[in-house]
Amino acid sequence: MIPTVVLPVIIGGLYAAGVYLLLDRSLTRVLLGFCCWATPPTC
Amino acid sequence: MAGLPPLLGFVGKEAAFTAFLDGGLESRTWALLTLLGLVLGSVLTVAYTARFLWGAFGSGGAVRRCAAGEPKPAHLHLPGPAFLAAPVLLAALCLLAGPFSYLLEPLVAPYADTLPLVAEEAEELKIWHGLQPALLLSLVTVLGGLALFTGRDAVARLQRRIAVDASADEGYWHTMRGLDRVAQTSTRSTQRGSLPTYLGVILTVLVALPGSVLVFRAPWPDAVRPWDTPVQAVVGVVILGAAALAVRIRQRLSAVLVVGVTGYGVGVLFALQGAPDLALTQFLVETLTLVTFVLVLRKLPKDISDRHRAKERTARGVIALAVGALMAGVGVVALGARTATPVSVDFPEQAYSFGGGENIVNVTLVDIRAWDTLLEISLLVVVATGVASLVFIRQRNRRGRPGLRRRRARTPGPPRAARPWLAASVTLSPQRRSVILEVVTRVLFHSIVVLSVYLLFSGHNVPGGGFAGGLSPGWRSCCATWPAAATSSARRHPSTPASCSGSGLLLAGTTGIAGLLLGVDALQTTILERTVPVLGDVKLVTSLFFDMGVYLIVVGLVLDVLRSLGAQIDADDEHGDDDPDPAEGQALATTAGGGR
Repeated sequence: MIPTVVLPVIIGGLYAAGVYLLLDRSLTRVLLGFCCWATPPTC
Repeated sequence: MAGLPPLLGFVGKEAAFTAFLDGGLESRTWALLTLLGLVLGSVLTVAYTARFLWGAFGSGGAVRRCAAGEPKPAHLHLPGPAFLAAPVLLAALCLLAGPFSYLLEPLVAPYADTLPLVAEEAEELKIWHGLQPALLLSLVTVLGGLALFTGRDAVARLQRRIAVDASADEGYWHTMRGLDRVAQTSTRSTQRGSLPTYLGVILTVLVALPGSVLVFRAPWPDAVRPWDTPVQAVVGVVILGAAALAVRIRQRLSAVLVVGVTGYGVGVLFALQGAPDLALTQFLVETLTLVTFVLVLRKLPKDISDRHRAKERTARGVIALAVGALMAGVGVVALGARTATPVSVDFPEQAYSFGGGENIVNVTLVDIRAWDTLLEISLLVVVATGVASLVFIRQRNRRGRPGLRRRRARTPGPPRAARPWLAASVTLSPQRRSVILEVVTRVLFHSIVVLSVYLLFSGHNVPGGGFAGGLSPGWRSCCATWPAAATSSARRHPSTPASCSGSGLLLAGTTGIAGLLLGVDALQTTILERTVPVLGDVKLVTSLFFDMGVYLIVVGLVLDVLRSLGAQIDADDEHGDDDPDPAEGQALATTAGGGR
């Protein structure tokens, strides 16, 4: 199967945003980061 | 120890010499070096054995002094027979086993056979093999050891001359102290009491170890293509834009909304990939998540304060980009790793013939892996009950003891007024209400419940099912986006969340028993086909009842969310007993403070 570029880029972008938010000291942003992290189409 | 004939040690040493002389190892050089080490070690063994014997039995030895009648210290005494039995027995066995060593061969041969045969089979175990090189090496060993013993004074002087100012004891304690210092340093640098620091360390290790394996060992695909459809790229741009905004935005509600956009975008991707059921579930879960966030965040300050220094923001950015690149690489490798035909190709036919449905996702959930689903919904009920109990226990405590509440309840009071058409009118102040939204919620309520039931019953053949039906979007999102509507809907619902979830779990579990009564396995679908007057041919699959159980559980869970986070908080507000709202960030400030 030949992989697409779009899906891995989306996965990487969502993980990057999720990790940045997870490393914040605000609990709201940590939860939002977790949501970003759980969203990618890999799960 | 010295390997002197006719003791067993001599037989063993001769066998070892013979083995390495004949080969022993694949490399001839290493075999000879090993043999040299063996000979030198045996020389030293003979030397210190001779020293022991001289010290015990030689001139000036302890045994000789005792035999000569010299007075011995008061705390010394001759060993008893039981103490002497062990060395005497071992010495006798060594003495006898030497001449009769061939009797031991059946004991050691099985283990020797497990080793690779490098050279020809060695000779059998026996004390005399004739004149051969191994005997010469044994002679060299004994003579060398005796020479060292004879020149022991010169050896002792040499030892003193080359001795270094260190000992094994000191080396051990220095090593242990060094380990303690390393442990303290690493603990101080990593266990800072800061959640961001912990996560940073974990993610750094994630990037370093699996990342290096991904770069150097992973099977990267030879070719890539830009997208499946151009629409996929458009949706991707929207998702990435929303993710970037989520990182930048400091307003609490706006950040929640843009994160919701990423979830809805992924739902669109699922739909584009041909997974409408997954897309529907993603939309519903995203909506419920959004609703829950809004219900909680309306009690918090509008903005999120930024308490990070520039250096910390840079470190977070670097780690985030590295993890993002790592996961993108994992995605590329995983997508390119599929070489076999996926099992899902045969799923549609199997799902229809085995589970009686055309929706393979639903058939999988309620039939093929029904046991997993039953355990999952059981866990869901337990967690929902626990969370709701944690939220409401505060309220229960404020009302006093249960006994007092019961007595008050029995006291006759004024007759209750009829329930108003808009329930929030008697619970919330006019300033907090939105009459338009309440009316819309009231009007749409039944229609959306019908949609929810339709999703439940049609889910076996088209997108839907118990989970999607239970999460049916409209009225709950409307309820939750405005507190008054949440209060209205929560009060209007005829059953409590606990009874709803409990009934669902009971129904789902009973379905398993029904399967046994119908002659199939527990939780296995049975297809019942009957011709009914007026309706004609009717087909009923028993897994529908299992799905109804799932539906009730999800409805109970959503009601729990609404009542816990929506209506109950508003009720607290109306009674003026809510706590002052602390800055939410302080939840992490305790732990984050350690990281500064």
